[in-house]
Amino acid sequence: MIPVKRGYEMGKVIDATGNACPKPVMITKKALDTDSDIEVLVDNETAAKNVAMFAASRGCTVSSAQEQTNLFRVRIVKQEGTEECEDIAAFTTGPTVFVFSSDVMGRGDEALGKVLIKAFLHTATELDRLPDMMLFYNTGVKLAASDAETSADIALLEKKGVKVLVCGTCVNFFNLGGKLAAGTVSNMYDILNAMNTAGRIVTP
Amino acid sequence: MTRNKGEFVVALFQSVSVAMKAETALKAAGVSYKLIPVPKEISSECGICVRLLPSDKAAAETVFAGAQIASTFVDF
Repeated sequence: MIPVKRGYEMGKVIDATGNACPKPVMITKKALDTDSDIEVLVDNETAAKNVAMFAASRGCTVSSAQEQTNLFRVRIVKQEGTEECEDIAAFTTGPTVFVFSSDVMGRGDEALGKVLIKAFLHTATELDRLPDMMLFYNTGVKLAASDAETSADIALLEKKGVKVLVCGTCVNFFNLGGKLAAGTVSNMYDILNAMNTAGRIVTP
Repeated sequence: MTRNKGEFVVALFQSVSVAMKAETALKAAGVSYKLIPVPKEISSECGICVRLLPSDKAAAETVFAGAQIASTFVDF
């Protein structure tokens, strides 16, 4: 049961109660596509915080209040001139980038990490949704070397359309010039730009 | 994924450590293999196995016997 609105003029009321995370945020996002002044009702504090954080990230003015034990009201007002902040989805739907910063998967046991990285790259070739890009730096560049067992999988991923960038400084450091089976030798500008514009970064 | 059943065989081991030992032995013996995660249709638990061409199965069995590595072969 939603309480009656208070006596002063507020935004359009959006009832997002009874919805599990992340539904309230999605409902809010949809509502903000059409309305610039809304009140979102949620039934728990976490949802209220998530909705508020989402709205704030879009440059909106946000205020939130707990009205009952299980009722929180989040007022969201779009601000003029904040259109460029509007679509957080642009960040979450950007390119998926796999970052290989070493020739092992995880930290801890070196031998186990070498086994895991082979399994990771093998599995990556079978993903339904391939990454858009893979970046290799530091000892990660060794994975793309012709004599590495992982290089065939990297070459296959590249053949399937994944953009593969390999750190040139690192290739030089490990004397791997001309010995790569896959990838384009790249630089810090392109590598950092790829990470900075990524929607998701996956690090094995 | 387009793969015909029987295109490969996988050798399963009791533990990741044994799989790693098997890999070392195969490499030393020059047997072609690929280390892969245990296929989900075989086991849902995280694990590592060795994938081989059926034509390399006999060589692998010999290598494993010599190195006292227990394994189970499954068509994949």
